Amino acid sequence: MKAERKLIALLAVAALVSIVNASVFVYYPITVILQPTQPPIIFLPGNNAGGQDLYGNRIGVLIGDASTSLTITVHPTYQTNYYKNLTVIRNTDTTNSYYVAIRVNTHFNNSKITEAKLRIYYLNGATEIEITKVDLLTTGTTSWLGPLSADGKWFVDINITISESGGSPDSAPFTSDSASLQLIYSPQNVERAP
Amino acid sequence: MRYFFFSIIFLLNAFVLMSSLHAGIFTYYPVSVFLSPVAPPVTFAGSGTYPTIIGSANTSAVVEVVANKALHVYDYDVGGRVVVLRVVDQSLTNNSIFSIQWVAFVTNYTDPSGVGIALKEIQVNIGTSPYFVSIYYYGGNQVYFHGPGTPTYVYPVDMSVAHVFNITVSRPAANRLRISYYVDNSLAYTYDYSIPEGAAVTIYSVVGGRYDTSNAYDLYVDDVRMRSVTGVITSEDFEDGVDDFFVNSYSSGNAGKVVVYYTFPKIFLLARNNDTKTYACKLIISPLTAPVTASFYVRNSTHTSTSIKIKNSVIVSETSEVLLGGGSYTYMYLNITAPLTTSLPITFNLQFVYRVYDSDGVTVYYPITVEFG
Repeated sequence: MKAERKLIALLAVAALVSIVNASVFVYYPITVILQPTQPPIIFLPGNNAGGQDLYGNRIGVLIGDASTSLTITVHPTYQTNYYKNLTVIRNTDTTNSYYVAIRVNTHFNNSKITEAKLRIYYLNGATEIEITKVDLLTTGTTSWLGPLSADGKWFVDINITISESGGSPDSAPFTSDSASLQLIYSPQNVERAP
Repeated sequence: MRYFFFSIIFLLNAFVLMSSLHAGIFTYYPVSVFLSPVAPPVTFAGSGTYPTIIGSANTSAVVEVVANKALHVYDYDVGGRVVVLRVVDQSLTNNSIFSIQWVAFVTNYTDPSGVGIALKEIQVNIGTSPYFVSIYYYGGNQVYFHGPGTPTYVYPVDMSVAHVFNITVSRPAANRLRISYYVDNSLAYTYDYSIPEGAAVTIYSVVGGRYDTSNAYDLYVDDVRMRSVTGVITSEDFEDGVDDFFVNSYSSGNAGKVVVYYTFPKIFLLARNNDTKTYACKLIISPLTAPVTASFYVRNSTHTSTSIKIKNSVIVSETSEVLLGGGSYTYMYLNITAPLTTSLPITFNLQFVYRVYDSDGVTVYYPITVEFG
């Protein structure tokens, strides 16, 4: 008899709890509209894209269909190799400027490379005004550069130095290496790029 | 208190407003850079002139230039003169020979009146009449052989480098002199000159420089070797820092002679193009401050670049370019002088620079160190 009373009490408590947690769901409408635009910042081939590299090779500058991706292939040798005007970063927006940053996600890692810099500059007449040199031997993101003015152009060079130590005049310093980067841009420079 | 709360609320609102104004949009483009290295298309080789250490891939060099001494004969005064002279005063009898030779190099030559400079001259007295047997320079790439009784003979020679000039006067017969001119130990010209039978012939003096004023130049002289009429050899290399040979010299104005550290223009390094493509190459030098005068330049088989110029500091920091054809060589030259008071060694940091001809797409820099001392 005593057990029956306990059972009834527990059932009563369970029923009460069910009533207290009864769910209510409220629905507000949210609409996300995508209105894609043409890319305001694009890559263009520099003066030396496809030009002569060492030993009859070509300086490879491959730009994606929408001019929003870039692959550069060069053929350096020992010591310092300076590749000039490989690509142009162009702001096609004629009214708005954009801040630009360069992020190195994967750096060159061959130990024979003693220096690897990507240099960005603009021209003031015939004078090159350097904006930054990005170290391609370390990962990281530059601070915001610029802004790249409306209808403006920046130019990109690459400087690679390869140690002669242990090398041979009859062979390449090493087989290959690569670095993976991102060009990031934004109309603002308050927040850092995620 | 109320004012304080209002202020806080205002600031919070302002912060929210600014955040919304600068709401970040970040666009990311992928970029890849691939390196596909190649063997060096251009490599260094030692010249054999100086001790040289070439890097393991033949793309760097350290050159040790011994600072020898030479006599610097200078005339920086178009109203002044300098004559380096040694009185010999020896009789040239039958079947005897007299010769004088030294290494000479002229630079910074200015001669608006065309009076020339004697690279070497012998005063020969026949009887009481003086005659002059000489090798003269008037500019350009030729020298002029003067002597008694014959038209001047013009001899083409590359005057951008030093040469060994020699004049030999002999008397093969009682009535005849034989005059011979040698350049770099090769006979360049010879002729016989008739004299009165049994005439007294005297080798009076040997001379360099110019008595006439109105020109200006630097003349460097080294390794003097004189064979007297009796076969005695007198030599002077100036390595003791003293000129014991031209003891009868004289000068006026801003002109004179002094023993200095000196290297004649010489090849100090070679670069070979292992490719079939043509490259354009040049030298550049890092800033330098030292009591030294120097020039560096590049030559191929047909062209010479302009020079790097140093006078206490770098005046011209790079040469012009010369072409380096497929499978060919280019030659790097230096020419250094410094006062004997200079603290040696002096280090010159150069770079050999080349690029694919007709393109500035890629430029390659090889380091060169030149130690002078």
